[in-house]
This record gives sequence, C-alpha cells and structure tokens, in this order.
Amino acid sequence: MLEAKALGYAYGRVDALCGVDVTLHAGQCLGLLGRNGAGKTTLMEVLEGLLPCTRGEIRFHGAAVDARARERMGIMFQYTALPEQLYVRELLQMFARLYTRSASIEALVEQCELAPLLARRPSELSGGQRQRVLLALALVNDPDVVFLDEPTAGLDPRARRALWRIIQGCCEQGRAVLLSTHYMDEAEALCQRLLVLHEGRVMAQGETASVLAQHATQSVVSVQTRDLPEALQSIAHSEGDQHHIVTDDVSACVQQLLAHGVDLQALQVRRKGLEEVFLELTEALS
Amino acid sequence: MRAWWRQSAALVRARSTELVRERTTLWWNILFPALMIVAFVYAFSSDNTRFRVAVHSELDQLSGGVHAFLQTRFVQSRRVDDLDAALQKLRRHEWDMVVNIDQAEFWVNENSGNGYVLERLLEQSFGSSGVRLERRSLQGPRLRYVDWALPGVLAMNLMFSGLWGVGFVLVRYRKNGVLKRIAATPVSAFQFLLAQLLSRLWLMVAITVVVYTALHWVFEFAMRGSYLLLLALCVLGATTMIALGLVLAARTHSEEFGSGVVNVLSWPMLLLSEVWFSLAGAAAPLQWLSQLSPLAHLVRAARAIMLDGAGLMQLWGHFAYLGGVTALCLALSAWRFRWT
Repeated sequence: MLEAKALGYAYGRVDALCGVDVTLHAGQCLGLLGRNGAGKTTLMEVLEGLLPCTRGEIRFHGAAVDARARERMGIMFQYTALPEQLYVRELLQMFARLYTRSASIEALVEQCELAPLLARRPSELSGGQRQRVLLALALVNDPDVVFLDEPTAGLDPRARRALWRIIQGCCEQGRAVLLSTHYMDEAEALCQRLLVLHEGRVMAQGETASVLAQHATQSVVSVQTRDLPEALQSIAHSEGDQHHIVTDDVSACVQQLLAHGVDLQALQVRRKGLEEVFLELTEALS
Repeated sequence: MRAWWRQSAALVRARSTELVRERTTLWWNILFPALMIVAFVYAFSSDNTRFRVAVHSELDQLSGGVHAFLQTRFVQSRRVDDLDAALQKLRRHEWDMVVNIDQAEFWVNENSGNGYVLERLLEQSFGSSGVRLERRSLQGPRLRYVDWALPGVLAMNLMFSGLWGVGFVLVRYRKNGVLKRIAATPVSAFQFLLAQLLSRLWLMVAITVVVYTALHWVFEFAMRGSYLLLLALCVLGATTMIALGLVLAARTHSEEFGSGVVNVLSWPMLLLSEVWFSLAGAAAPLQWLSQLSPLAHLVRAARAIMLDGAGLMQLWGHFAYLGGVTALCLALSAWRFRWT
C-alpha cells in the first residue's frame, strides 16, 4: 500500500534519516522502535508528506505522495492541541468536512468509545480520553493508512488497553498502521512487523516473530537472593536482591544456583523479550 | 471545487463558533470602544468658554478694529493659511468665526451661538470708525469632540481585533500544534488563511455595526455621508487589519515575539493616525509617515464620510491605498505562511 525506498532527510547538515526502506501492508501494523532522537517522528512526517524527503522516493497506492494523498491518510501526532472552544462532536464534524470521503461519525464514536465525551471540550478530557479523540480524528476520513506517533505515551494501563483495542480494530478493518512507540509490550502485542531505527538508519526490520527469533535466542533466569554466587555476578543484571541472568543454557544456570544453595522459591525463567532485544541492539551501536 | 468550498466553509464555521464562544473576548471587543466613547462624551461635554477665531491674512498688520476685537478677553485667535480648511472647521464648530482680512470679510456659522456673540463683539470693536467687514455665513451643526473621535475609536478597535485576534491567535495555534494538525488534512494554506480572514471579518464588522448603532442611538453622532459607503469602508478596513495580522503571523513561532511585533506595529500606527488628536500642526516627516499607516487612511476616510459627507469619488485614494495594502499583505502571508 505504501512503499518508501532509500529515504533520506537532513536537518541542515545533520542526517536525520539515511537510506530507510519501509513498506506498509494493508491490515498490518508496523511497529517503529528507536530511542529518543532516532528519527521516528521524522520518518513518519516524511511518509505523511509533511516533510519533503531529500533522497529516495515514496509511493502510496502506486503514486507519489502529495497533498491529495492525505485524503487517504490518518495522522495522529505525538502532541496536538485542539481548538478549545469546540465540543468533541463539533471537532469530529469539522474534521470530517475537511476530507472528500469520511467515515460514519456514529461508527467512529462507537469504535473509539466517545459517546460520553461528545458534549465535552478538549480541556475537559483526561489524557486517555484526549488520545481517543485524537485517534478518532485520525480515522475520520476512513483512511487506508494510519500514522500513530506514540499514541499511548503517558497513559495509564487501562487507557492504553483501550487504545490498543482501537488500533487492533484498525488493522482488522484492513488499514495499514505505522505505530511509533517506546513500549515494547505494546509493540509485541499490536505489531505484526517491526522496524528498529537508530540514528536515522534501520537496524532491524521484519516480522515481529522473526526479529525476536533472530535476536532473542537466550533466556532470562530471575532469582531473588542476597548472596548471588560470585561466578554468576559478572553475567547477572541486579536490582537490589533481584538478579536477572541472561543465558543460553538454562539447566546449567539453575544447577549452578542450586549448587550454591540459592533459594529457588522466586525463580522465574523466560525467553528474552523485545525490550532486552531493543536495549541490546541500540546499546551495541552506542 | 465543491470540496474546496465545503472545506473552507467548515473552517470558517469552526473558527466563528470559537470566536463567538470566547465570551470574554467578544464582550471586550464590544465594550472597549463603547466605554471609551462614553468616557469621551462626559470628559469633553463641558462648555468651552473661549471664543475661537481663525484669521486668514497675507498681511502682517491688522486694522485697528480687528486688532481690538482679537484682544478681547476670552477671544482666542490663530492665523491660518488654508481658508477652505478653516471654513470646513467653522462648519463643524471647531472655529467660532473666520476672519478673512484680505477679502475684508468674516464668516460665521448660523447655527453657532458663539458665532453670534462674536459677531456682536466685532461690530462693537469697529464702533463708529466706519470700516466694516462683509458678513458671510454658512451652516453646520455643532460637532463635539466625540463626533471627531468616534471614527478613530472604531478604527482602532478594528486594528486591535485584526492584529491580536487573528495574528496572535495564529502564533498560538502554531506553537501548540493546532496548525500542524490542520496541515495533516488536505486543506491548503490559502484555504486556511481565507477561512481565518472570513471568520474574523464578519464578527469584526458585526461588532462595529452593533457598537456604532447603539452609541448613535444614545449620543446621536454626526453622520453626513452614506451609511453604505461607511459599511464598505468598515469591511475594507477590517480586511486590511486582518491581512496585516496574517502577515505578522505567517512564520512567527513565539507568542512573546508575536506580541512584541504586534505592539511595534500597532502603537506607531495609533499615534500617527489621528485617532486621538489631529496631526495638522505636526512636523512634516511625521505627516509623511502618517500617510503610510493604513489606520490613518481608514480614520481619515471614515471621518470624511461621517463629518463631511464625502463620497466615493473624494475618497478613492484612501480606498485604493487600503485595497493595495490588503492585496499585498494577503499575497505576502500566503507566500510566507508556514504550518509549523
């Protein structure tokens, strides 16, 4: 649906993006991961056509991206204020009129759970409610592709889950979603594919499962003890009495713990998650 | 094209709704000029006990009778070069008598009580010398300071509404990301600016009409020209001020810088545009600078319509200047405008 090749963008002499390839498929969510300043927002704005790419090309439905392409794009920025004197219902109606095609407001209200908020002004909304309204505004033109820049930043778990449901619904409706996030659990839960950016370059890209399979071959053994054996201290990541040991051989690690008389009551063993993979990938390059 | 109009109408409607709901701003826009006018009415309502005489003469020496007349206690005289301008002021009761020595004549306003008294004094001053000045008269109702100040106050309100209400709001919208959100839609910069202009324009004109009508009903201001022409001038002047605001806000990011720029532009315009006082006696460079101010053209044209009954033919220069500034500012703002 949307394909970008060898994208480049520079702020003055600083390269913010360098040779980035991105493909968005209908019905799939692509997770855009990267540290602060990695170029995630720049990449999104270049794909949205709000920033002109200095290198490479973008094709949306086979054509170059221009202002008309925004008819079929839904965009939710990291932070946006809204006209404070308009009610949520009026905001939805106004934004719907800015596009030639629009979604049913009623359906949108139901999908984003906005019914109790329609008669409120933006200043009367909580953080989670505000993000739901902004997401609804991004969907008001029934877009083919949706760009979501850290939509759940700063939300409580319940509000995050509410947004997750809407984002999953977008994919089920056949939309392509590009989701930028710092929450790895969110990326694992929502994204079929991942793209990890570091200093404007792609470090890893592919299906979520294959990225994990490629980089998360080890396991993490967690124990709670005051006396961790000296042999394990160098490979353990400790937080007080809690120790996390990354290992290829779980059996050998557990036997070593038993041999040193470590209490295994609070033992936890899990495969390395996306968060560890992300940290390893980005720290290795730093 | 239909979509273009639908988008523009949606923006105009949304912004208009916002403006109308900003009750404090709305009431301030109505009450500020009204309160100023009411204050002027009371501040300048006391009778002036001085009798003002304009003397037009190429000669250095005045005859004995005229000299004695001008020395009378409470008679305040001043030499004037422009006889026509002096007669225009006599018509508005800004002078009580005009003495034209070169033509051996004096002018009075038939509706002026002060003029009547001065005429009797002048006769007494000549006594039995036999020298007489020929009496000429004209008519015109008394003009209060508030009649003179009203066009300026209304124009000033238009200027502040245009610069602060449009320019400053756009800067705020740019800073808090509202503009960026609109930029993410198919709406063009020109459409957006046009919507800002139209939504503010109708409100500014409506407020001006309401304020003028209400105050006119109470104070019966002088109005010798065409209401339609005055309304057309109001629309053009408001458009000019909004266009100026759009240029100021085309790229400004900071509210602090934006307010500084608005102040730098508005206060010199205010001082150079004869809103409060005439620049007739001011230095030539100031008068030249005054010609550059769109507010000055707006005030002078409004005053000419309301006080002198001037028509479009006499005012085409002011209309053309305001139209030109508007077109230039709109083109500049559309060219320089940045969403972020």
